[in-house]
Amino acid sequence: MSSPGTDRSGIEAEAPIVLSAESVTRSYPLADRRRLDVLRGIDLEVREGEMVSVMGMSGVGKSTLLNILGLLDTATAGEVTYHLPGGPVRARELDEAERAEIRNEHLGFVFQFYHLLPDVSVLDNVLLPAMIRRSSARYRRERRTLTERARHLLGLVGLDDRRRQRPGTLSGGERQRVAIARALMNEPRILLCDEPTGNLDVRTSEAMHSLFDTLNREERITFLFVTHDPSLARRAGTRKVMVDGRFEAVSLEEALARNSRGEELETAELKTAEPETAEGARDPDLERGEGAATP
Amino acid sequence: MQYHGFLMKRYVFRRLIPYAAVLAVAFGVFSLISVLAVMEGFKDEMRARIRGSLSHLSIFGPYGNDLLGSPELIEALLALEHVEAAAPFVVGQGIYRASTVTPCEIRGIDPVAEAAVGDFDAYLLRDDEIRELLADETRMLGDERIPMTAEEIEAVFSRERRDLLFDSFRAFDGDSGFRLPPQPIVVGIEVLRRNHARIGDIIELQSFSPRTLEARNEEFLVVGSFQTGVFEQDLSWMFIPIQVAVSFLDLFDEEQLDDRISGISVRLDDYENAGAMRETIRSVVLEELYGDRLESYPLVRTWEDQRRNLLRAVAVEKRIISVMMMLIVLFAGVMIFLILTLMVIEKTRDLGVLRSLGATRGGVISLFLRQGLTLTLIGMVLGSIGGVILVANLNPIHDAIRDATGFQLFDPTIYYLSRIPAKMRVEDWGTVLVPAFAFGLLGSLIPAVWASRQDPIKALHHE
Repeated sequence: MSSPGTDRSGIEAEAPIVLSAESVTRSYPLADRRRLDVLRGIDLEVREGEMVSVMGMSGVGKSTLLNILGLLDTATAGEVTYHLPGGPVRARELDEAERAEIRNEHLGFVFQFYHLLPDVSVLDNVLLPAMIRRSSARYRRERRTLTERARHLLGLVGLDDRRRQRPGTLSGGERQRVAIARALMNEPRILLCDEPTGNLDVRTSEAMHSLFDTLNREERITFLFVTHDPSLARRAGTRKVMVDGRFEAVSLEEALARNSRGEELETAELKTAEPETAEGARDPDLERGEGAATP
Repeated sequence: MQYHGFLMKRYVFRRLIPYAAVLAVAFGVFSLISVLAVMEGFKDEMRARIRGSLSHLSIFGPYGNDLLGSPELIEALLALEHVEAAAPFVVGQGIYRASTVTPCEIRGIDPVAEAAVGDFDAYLLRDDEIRELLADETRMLGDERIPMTAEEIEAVFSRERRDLLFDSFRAFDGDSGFRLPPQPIVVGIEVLRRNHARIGDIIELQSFSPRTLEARNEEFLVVGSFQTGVFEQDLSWMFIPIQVAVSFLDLFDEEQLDDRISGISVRLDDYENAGAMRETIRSVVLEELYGDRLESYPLVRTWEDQRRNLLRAVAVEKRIISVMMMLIVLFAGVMIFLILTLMVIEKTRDLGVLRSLGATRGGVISLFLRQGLTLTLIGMVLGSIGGVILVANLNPIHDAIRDATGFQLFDPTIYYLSRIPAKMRVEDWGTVLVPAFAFGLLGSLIPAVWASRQDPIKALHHE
């Protein structure tokens, strides 16, 4: 699938697809029969071992897209498909428990603010995804193996010697590396990274970029970044530019040039809703008011 | 799941605040167990007091003093299995005039037979015991007292004792003419304590015949005293021999050629059989003896039937106190609710992380529910242990406090009890622990469900 706004280099076109999105939209109902269209027909395909970046200004819908792909939110329309070893699975057909299972076993999250649990050690933070879907008995049985894997991952990000420390004693870059190790714990098919360097200084960001490169190259980890950090976006083999809830057919450089000329790309616009066609109204999560995150 | 226990240790046991909830539950359970045990102890003691002289079962005439055929009935009753003794009695209302005029309840009994059906031998007093009780107005004879023998009981009502007391009375009065001693009467210890009469005094009893409704008036010689432990009974009950009562109240029915007595007291081998025996007596004995005389069909009552209102009052008192004390347990449930709610607020971002890492809503509910229930269960165990220790050592603790501060919490004279009574029952444990668990569950469930309903995206952005 070829989509607008794609800037690809070095893609292994024959590699299996990990996830795909087709015509994904996300709208939030507002007062006075209006709606806020945050995503307006997103098509995306991520292949195994690929590094994909989605870049755009603040408020264009990058995080919303990531939340939908990460099964934390639900698309108003369109389809997200996960190509799992057992066959493709459509997001819309999943119940709450299945969504949680896919998040745990096939997806890894890296957030801008790390989101490590402050009350537990670095090692236990990394082990947490393994604890979540294992009974106490099974965890005890597999504890040695799991701990070895957690330590291996901490070694990969250069923090095995800090494993007994609490996250509060680490620097921002170190915390983010722990978050990456945690995201990799259950061997996910893809790592979804939301502004992973957004809270780091330039030097630390550079080190993080190198780490992503290494993991992608040597461990064949698939990445999807949403970022407004051009240097991170440039490292991705597939680069997407998001403007106003859509992927724009512009190169990253052009988008950056536009931005530097002050042609601020518009953020999501308000539209009057057509209730009978607003599929979001049928979305149970949306009806409950869930997923109404700031785009 | 593994993360439940893992996070519970970090969220609950490494902080101080959750222990406040444990303390609240423990205190509630401790208080309730202790209070209910003491209430149950008092209830037991009160039951004994309320029962007083009543036998296991009583058979009454349908309209009061109108039970005919009592000898045949007693004979039939004694032939029944489980019946150990049966004794006739007469009850009437009256007033007595001694140093003052006071209302009283006249109880005509066969003293020895009465001791066999009830506790008359346990509360009829020897002369030295009377002196002892008069010397200390708050004293009550303990359970260790040896009941009077049949000979001793007979001696109290004997002609010899009456002669002796009457001679002393007349000598004191300066009366030297020949006169038979009046019939004997035994009054409660409170009558003597209030100086309404003394042993050896002659008192005038006034009543009316329930059969003829004529006024009756007769002098009696105070030959003894009793102490049941119930103040009202010890002040107003008067025991006289049943034949004297029949004569005094004019209960002999000339048409039927039989005495119309109030009823028959029955003692069973075990009070547990009272309910069944009540039915047996109704359906077998009375049917046979009185089947064709519906107008005189007797009533059969257990002692609890007769004192139902008083027993209910005691039970209601205990229930009300239980409910009031339950507020402490409710408060503990509220504590758990508040602490878990604060924890949900504080850990909102963690919840978002857990959800993003694959925790389900049910998993989040379980995480907080386990925390709340763990706090509740620890509190319940600690409170139960504390309650058991307190109840087992109630009197030593009370004495230690009294010795240290001089403050006497429990005045033994009020209830005629030398020690604070306490009794633990399985039902009372249920009354305490089931609501404690229920309030703990409710206090945990609400924040747990609320936590599970947190939107993971919002939770991740929670400040």
